[in-house]
Amino acid sequence: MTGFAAQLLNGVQFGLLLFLVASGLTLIFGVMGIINLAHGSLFMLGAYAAFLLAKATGSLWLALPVGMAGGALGGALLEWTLFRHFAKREHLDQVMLTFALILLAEELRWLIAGNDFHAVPIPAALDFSVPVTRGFSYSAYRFAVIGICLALAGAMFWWIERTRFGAIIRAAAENPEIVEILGLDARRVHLIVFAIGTVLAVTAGMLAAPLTSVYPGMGDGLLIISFVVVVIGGLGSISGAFWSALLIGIVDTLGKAYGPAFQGTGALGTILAAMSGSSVYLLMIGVLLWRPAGLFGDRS
Amino acid sequence: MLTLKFPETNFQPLLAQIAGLDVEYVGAFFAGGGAVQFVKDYKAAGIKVPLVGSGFLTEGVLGPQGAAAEGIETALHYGDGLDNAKNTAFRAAFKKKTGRDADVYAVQGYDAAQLLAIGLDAVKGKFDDKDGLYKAMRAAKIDSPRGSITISPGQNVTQNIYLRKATGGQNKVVGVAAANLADPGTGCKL
Repeated sequence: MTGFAAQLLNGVQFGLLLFLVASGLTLIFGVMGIINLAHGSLFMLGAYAAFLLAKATGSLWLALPVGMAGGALGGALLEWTLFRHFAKREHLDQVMLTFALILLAEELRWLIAGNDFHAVPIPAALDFSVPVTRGFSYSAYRFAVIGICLALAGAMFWWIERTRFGAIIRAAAENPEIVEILGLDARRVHLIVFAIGTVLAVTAGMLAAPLTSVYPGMGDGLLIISFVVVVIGGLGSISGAFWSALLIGIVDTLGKAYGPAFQGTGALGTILAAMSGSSVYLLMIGVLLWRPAGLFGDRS
Repeated sequence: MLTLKFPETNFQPLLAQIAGLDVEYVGAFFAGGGAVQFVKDYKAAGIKVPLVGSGFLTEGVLGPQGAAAEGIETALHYGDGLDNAKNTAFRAAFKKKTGRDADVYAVQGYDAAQLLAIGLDAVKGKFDDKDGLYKAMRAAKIDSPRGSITISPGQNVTQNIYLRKATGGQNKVVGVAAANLADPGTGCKL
């Protein structure tokens, strides 16, 4: 059973990182109505920024604030130059725009850092192991990532639920026109929301860099699973994204850990083993059939 | 056997499983960036079972793996500290020419060129004499930095497979895992 506890911890850690990516995705969709396929590329660019900045400054802790500031600036710039003009257009146009951004981001990554895998060292102060179960340890850095993700999630909740600007965002997610009717500057709201979403994705990439290495296309798989999180959590719902990210993180980890063991236990076992990597997609299909608006979405 | 899809590098579900196994050794096949991350994560997971594998697990990636790779035993057809005259000369010349230390890939390239040279010598440079070229290459006995090698009936290299141990940033050869091993090359159609 201790192995199971370790797998749960793995699931929670993966889920919290997923939340950082998915929350930006759901926020941008909820408030701006834009499906941002390039969100995974922002994660990838964050990871490469961590690699380059940590190499230049010698410390991930120095790289983190620089990367976050860069993410805020870059996000605001993207919104101002591109996304603003696509907010009112068809989803297909938005897909074309954001798909083009994926290609551009990969090209940029290739120009700057090449196509190699790169390892990012864990900050020296956290480069030690903490036993979690008998025979299995966790690096202190993983615990730090869990802590940072929880702190960011807490800050997001407070910001969305307790502040005036958060109320405006919730109103905008509910009914985009109401913001303008109330005489508020919708453009400013969109700019800030997009910048925050970008910062979250970039931060997730930077935090993940020492855990996964950095490599081409590393954001692609994460983007797809983040969409699953958003769909299960309910489009535009931050708390929905949080719980659904944890659920997906745990289901994905358990599926990968225990699914293959069914191999060789009859025809059903073979099917289960083959699908062990796709457990989250099966979950999504189930949720969509049961509650089409997601577990936390507005059912009206 | 535990597997995961390339290029996935979230090894945590596998590592937590390995920690619960009652085994003497864990054998892994990874190369390049995946090998760097796996070896580091394996160490961080605090698993006491010794990690072993194909030489590519630690070949060319000992720098970024750092202390996490220390003591890992692997098997490959080349390694650091092979004590023969050819290897010493080759490494010195390679370093002088390129500024880098020679590795298994450098040796393979060098031997491929040696093999071609033996074939071309036999036919006096007449590249069109394919039969003569192939015949000479099949019979070649090459003085390689990895030791003396020949070509097997399966058209693969017959060579020593060395046991290496990662020590202080080097894959030190500590013994011969299999002497003059001929790969049957069952997949080769030639």
